[in-house]
Amino acid sequence: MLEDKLLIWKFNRGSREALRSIYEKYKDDLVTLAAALLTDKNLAEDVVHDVFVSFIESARKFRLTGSLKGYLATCVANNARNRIKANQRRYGVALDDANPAAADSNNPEHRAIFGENLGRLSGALEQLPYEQREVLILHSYSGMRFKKIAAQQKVSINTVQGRYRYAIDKLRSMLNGEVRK
Amino acid sequence: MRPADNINQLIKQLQLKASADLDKRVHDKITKAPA
Repeated sequence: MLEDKLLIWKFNRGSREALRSIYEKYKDDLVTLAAALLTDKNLAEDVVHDVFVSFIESARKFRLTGSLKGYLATCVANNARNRIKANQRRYGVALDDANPAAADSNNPEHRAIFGENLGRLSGALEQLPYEQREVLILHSYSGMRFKKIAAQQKVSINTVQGRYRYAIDKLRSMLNGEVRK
Repeated sequence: MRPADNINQLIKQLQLKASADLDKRVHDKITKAPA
């Protein structure tokens, strides 16, 4: 946290080294977060690229109020959500619907991205409605509080907690083989 | 323990590496950023 504050202080004074340090420190976590949200590594890298381009442009006026990692994770989640929304507007699918392109939790593409064991998890994640997947990943992977997720999704904390419980239950069912599509 | 017994633990294990291509794209932008 202190180290991040120092990096931001330098960043706001035009230090490219500070920017490089911030990128190197958080890049893998942010790519993982975006890939878990979008279940597509190439798209995930585009999201992280765009987030850092915007971050670079905020130099000299950036003010950190919480944690830097939390701020960047929020930017990644917003960017990923906007891409999903744009895609769904194009194809006429609601954000709350499960991804119709999701085949099953044994999809080889997911195994290629995350490896054999976690690929199954990634395939199951893709079958969740986006809002539920977002709550689960932001809370369980990024450690974001339900209150903050509720503010991002513009819904109540109860709704967010409900989405979390549904997501956990569905994933558990899918991974235990109780649900076969 | 079956894989689904602890979803949270599994999710925390997700870990990808940024590709060399992404590194290059971002570092190029940083290099071009005004100092």
